[in-house]
Amino acid sequence: MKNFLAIKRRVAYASILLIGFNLGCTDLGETVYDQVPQDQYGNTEGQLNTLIGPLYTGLGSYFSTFELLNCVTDEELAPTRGGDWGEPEWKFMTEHTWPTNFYGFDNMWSFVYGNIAKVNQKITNPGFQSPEAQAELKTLRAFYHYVALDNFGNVLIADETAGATPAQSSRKEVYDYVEKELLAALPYLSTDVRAKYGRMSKYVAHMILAKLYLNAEVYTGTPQWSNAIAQCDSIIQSGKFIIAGDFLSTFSVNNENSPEIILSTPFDKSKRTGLYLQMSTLHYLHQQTYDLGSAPWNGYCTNAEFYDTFEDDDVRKQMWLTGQIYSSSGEVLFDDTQPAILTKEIPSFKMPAGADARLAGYRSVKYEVERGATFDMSNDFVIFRISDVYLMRGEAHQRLGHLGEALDDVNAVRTKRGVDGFTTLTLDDILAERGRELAWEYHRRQDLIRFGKFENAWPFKPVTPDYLRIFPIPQSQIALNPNLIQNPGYPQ
Amino acid sequence: MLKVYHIFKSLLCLLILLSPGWTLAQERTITGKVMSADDNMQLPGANVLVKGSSSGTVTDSEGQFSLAIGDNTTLVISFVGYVSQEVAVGNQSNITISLVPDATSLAEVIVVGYGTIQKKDLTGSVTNLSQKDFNAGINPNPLQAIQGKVAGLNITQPSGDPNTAPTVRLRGYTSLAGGSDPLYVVDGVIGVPINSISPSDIDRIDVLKDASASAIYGSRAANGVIMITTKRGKDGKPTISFNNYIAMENISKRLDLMNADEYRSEVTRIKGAASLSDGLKFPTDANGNGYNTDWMKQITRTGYTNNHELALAGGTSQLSYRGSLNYMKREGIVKNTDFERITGRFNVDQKALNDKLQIQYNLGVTRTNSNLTNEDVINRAILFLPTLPVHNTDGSYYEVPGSFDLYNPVAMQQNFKKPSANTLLVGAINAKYEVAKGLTLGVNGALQSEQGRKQEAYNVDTKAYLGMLGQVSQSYAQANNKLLELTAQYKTNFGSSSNLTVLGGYSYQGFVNDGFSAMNNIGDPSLADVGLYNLYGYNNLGAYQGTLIRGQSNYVSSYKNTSALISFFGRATVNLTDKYNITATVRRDGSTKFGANNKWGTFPSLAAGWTLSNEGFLSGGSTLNYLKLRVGWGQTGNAEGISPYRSLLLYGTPPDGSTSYSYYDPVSKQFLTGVDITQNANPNLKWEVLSQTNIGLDFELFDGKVTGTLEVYDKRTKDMLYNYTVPLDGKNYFTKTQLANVGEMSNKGIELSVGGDVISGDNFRWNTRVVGSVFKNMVEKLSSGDYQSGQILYNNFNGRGLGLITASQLREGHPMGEFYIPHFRGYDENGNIQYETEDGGVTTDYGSAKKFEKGSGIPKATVSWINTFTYKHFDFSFQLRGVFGNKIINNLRSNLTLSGSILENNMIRDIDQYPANYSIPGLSDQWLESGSFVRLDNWQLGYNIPVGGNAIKNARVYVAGNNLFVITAYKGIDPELQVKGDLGTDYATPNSIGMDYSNIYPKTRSFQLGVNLTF
Repeated sequence: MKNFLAIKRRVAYASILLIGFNLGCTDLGETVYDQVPQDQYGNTEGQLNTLIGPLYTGLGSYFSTFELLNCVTDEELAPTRGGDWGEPEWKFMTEHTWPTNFYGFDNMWSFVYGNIAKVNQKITNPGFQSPEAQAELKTLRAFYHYVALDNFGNVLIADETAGATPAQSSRKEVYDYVEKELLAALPYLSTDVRAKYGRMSKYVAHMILAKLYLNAEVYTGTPQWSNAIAQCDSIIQSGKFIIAGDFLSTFSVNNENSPEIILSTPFDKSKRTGLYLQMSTLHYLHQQTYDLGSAPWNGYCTNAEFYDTFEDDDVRKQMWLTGQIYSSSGEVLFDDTQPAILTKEIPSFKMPAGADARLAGYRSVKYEVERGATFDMSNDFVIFRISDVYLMRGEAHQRLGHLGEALDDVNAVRTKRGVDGFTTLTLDDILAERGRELAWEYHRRQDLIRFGKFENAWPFKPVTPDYLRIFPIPQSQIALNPNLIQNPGYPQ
Repeated sequence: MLKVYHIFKSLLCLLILLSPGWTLAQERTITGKVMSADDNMQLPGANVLVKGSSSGTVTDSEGQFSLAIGDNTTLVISFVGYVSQEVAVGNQSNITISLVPDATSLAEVIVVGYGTIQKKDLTGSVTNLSQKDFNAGINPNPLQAIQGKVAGLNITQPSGDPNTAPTVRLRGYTSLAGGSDPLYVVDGVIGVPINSISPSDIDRIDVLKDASASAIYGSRAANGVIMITTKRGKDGKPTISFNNYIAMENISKRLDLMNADEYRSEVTRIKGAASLSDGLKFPTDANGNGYNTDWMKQITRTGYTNNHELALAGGTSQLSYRGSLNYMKREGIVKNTDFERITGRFNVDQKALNDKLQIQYNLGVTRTNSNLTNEDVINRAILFLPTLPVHNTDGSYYEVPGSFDLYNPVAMQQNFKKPSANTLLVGAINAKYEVAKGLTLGVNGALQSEQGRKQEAYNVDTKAYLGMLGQVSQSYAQANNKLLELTAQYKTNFGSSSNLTVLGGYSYQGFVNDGFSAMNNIGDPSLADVGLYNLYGYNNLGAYQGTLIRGQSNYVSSYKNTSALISFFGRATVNLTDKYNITATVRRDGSTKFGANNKWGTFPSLAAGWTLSNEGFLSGGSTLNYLKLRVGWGQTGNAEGISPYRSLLLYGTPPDGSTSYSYYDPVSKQFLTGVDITQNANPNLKWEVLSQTNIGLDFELFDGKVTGTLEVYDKRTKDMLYNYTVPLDGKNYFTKTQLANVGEMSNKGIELSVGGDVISGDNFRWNTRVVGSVFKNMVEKLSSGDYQSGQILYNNFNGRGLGLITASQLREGHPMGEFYIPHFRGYDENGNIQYETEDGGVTTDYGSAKKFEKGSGIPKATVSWINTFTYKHFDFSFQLRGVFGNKIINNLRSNLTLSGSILENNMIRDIDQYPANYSIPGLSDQWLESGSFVRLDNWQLGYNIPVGGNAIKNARVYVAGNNLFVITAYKGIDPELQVKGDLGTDYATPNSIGMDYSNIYPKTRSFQLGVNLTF
């Protein structure tokens, strides 16, 4: 029996060992080492700052989001150069035959609503409950809703974090929401435009309101010209912004000190990357002109008709790169066997392969190209600036019949740009002036729509129906969100 | 405890009754020796039993035994793998018994999870292979050694790169993001990297194919389990094995590119003679002659492989050991690439406490050193013009400034370094103690520690790397895990040939991963002449401190994560009268990686076997000797693709290493680093569930001369993981996608393995086997509720100006790898490709073209034919492997026939078959080709030198080789392409399936000379 007891004891020990392990090793919680669970962060001033900053970095995607979609306007296109740039989107954007599943619309939607979700998550954070912090966050949220209503029309109002997916609102409802939010925020917003550079200051809120009112007729059917003038007045009369004497300085590598800028998204070639307009537009050979780290992609250019609206004396004409391409040491460069000369005319949208196709169309260097740039540039991308405000106010006056005030405002810009002021003014003049002043700053689509010209024919684009004034709700979002109904005119 | 008490009380009684001490007094003692009939080696550990009694013994290390017997005794001698023999002793006092190896192999032992089972009792689908089944030729890792040998286990080696591991897919494609590789279990240690094992150390490989066999491994078993058992020492005199081979490899097939004269004449035809005046692209030497450079030749070489192995084994009945050292160095055929591995392995077996305690110690150390290529070098060698010289007269590399596509591949090759090194240590102890008769407790503990280092440097003074700004980097990574498993097994026999085995266990495996990397740009173009690349390379990252001139937030980065898997498992096996077998298993897995709502999962299986040939109505036939039906069902999980913390809402740094969370602080006028939400949370995140039904038929024909297995399976993955698109509503989701369990996928297949000794004479033997499988995959479901896969586009078709054009799209109701492309309707007069439209017309606009399902990049059938011939001391073996029914998009051809771009890069000779004004490439079935092929995978001719005397036990010399020929209609280089199907590094789209691209490391043909010696 001794033997038996020994066995029994051994079994018992083993069982205890087994049970002990089972109880001790069944904890399945996760210990996070290299990231922070969201509820364990944001407790100090410093931590809160690191949460607010990235919200504005999210705003930096404004450039890449709008860069693509600007090809729906008459100022920019990417023609098919032989086998290069043959993707369908360049053609369907220019021709206004875009499909509802175009990734450009997906990008715009996620730019808006991904960022809104992150703002909402901060609005409920206990650290951001001061009226000033709430006002700034809500202004940023209103800005995204404004972008959504301008591009997609009937969209979602997302005004809280978590909870049921919101129902789709009409363009008018979103308009009212943005107006209400901004008016409520105004008293608490900062007027220190240096301390709020690249952020939501009081004047940014005025600017969004000014844009909202200027386009109110498009958005709601009811014009708000006087309200637009009042908002522009608030910006101009603050004296915080002036039209720069040197036009291109507002777009230079170190443009953060430009007196024109109301809102920009700061970029840096290494610390905050994402601005690479030179890569999209310049010819391969410009690598040698600017000693770039890699050959540019030779894509975007402008139409001859648009280029021709610039007078020779106009300093703004210097934004275009034309003619012979030289190396940085001044040598004439060749494409295949012919001298590399950029041509104004684009013979056809689809050009056969060869040097002629590669050299067609003038390119933009409005944003200064830094010599030796590797890929990303350090220029800050300008979203809102003061000359736009003058032109907006001038337009609103013109539409109300205040012709004198309109002339003053438009000429205030023109005289700074080296061209004579207008003596008489038409709405077409104002649109053309906005084209020259704001070319490739991504206001053109909104302007063409407001002036009723978006349906017109221009090179490589036929006359198009007016339902295209608002982009389709992205097909992918409709598939996922049963609350969303496609905009009128598009296949449901 | 009360129950246990009773069980043991009865057990003890049984033990006492059976104990030899209680049997009748003996009359005399017989001694003897048990030998193997085939090689006359002694067999230690063979069972010697007195027939009709329970008395018996086991042979010692010399194969000797001694046993007390009575009158008229018959001895039953048995040994695993041999036919049992009965010997009437008569009045002999010393006998020698020669056991014949069991040709039927039914007595073989199969390694299953947490135990072994006799093949005749098997209920699941398991294929076992031993060293003798391994492929001939160069086998740097075990997978290549068994390629083509297991029905349903498709092993693809898509390139000749010595550092590329083959792709393994067992029974189709079951997952996108959950992980697609089988689970490797080496000597009971779970998750050992397969590439760390030297094939020569392997004793056997058991492939657990169906769920009833693999479900004991629970949430990690859905892609099958490959059990590797390494060689161990045996009781007996020490043996020394010395195995060596050298091999040489060359490109097996080259692309049919134009030489300089052909290129010049095609340029003249297409673009006119004036184009030849471009001195940059058509330079001449001092004598006015043009150049002619074969760029592929410039970057490649003959690669030599050296493999040396030394193994020492021996021991006593209580302690045995085997130690081995293996060194392999394999040069790649692309210059500056190679693979070097040293493995050391030491296995010790100890027995104690009257052999009731058995302990296995395993120690394996593997060190690998690799030199990797920049894949773009291969691409550029295809594209760079043959009219250009390698060097300028001043010795610098010849480049074409301003061109977008032309980069000197030799310059790229010589100015890039990418070594990596990896050290893996696996130590394990596995102890089993027989507490009572039939009851064994086991402890299995293992530690795995892996350290990896990667380095990389680009010389800025090279046109292709100008944009890299002299990037140099080093990264170190550690992966450690601890495994502890406790098992209890109880086995009892009842009746004459029935038994019951019950196993229960607990397993804990904890993982810790960490690492760091540092990077710098030491190549400001304006300072290129400093030559930091040549001075320091990646060895002094701080040499040029402060020039963080390229926008990335990951100049310095580190990470750490941990996870744990906790499991309870059990198995019950009943074998009744050698006719019926039933196995049931269950495993309950809990993982830290799963979401808070789904931490635990249960994975059951049930299987039964029926040996029909042991039933009266089938037994006794001479044609059909053996027939067994197996049916099994089970559920397994798949979650290896989930990395730690994926279910949580986290603040962190940008997952892509970009600067996208850094922000401008207007007060300090500085760019600062921010913290942002990195992913959407998913508290429901869990494993994928794979349900599998398997029906198998094992048979033996013609007295065991032909053996085979036929199996049919049906698998269905549910809760398939993918980064699904979520609705961005501004409230609930912060980023576009979320890792979630949504989709479903199915695979159905048939597998056959049949063969045997067709001829088995005294001098000549021919063993042949056919192994084949067919399967059908279907993506069943990709969306549910908030989750949509969106358009999962993959298989990018590359071409000038094409942007995102894809040849495949994952669609519900369609198989993975299916091509969905337009139909080619010829060229128009301008050289534009015309596609068929919906209404049967033609268009040159790709967007308006109708798309057709045009077959799949995944083969429908895979068949191997394995042959071994033995004639006296000579043997010859070869394996033909065929892959059928797949299609390939020859993207290489579409880009190298583009007349309009002939000035931009070199083209293939067939360019003259295409219109001279063809300048815009397009995707259509024009580029679709059959990918079927038959390859002579490997062959070997060997001679066993007859050795007398005791010094040398075995001596063998052989010549062998890989990839002697390929029979195929495919026009490209090689039809065996990557067929991974799981998600790529972007974690959004599947890796390509059946696409032929320009950066594929060329395949090789090898010849090998080897010698094996055993002392």
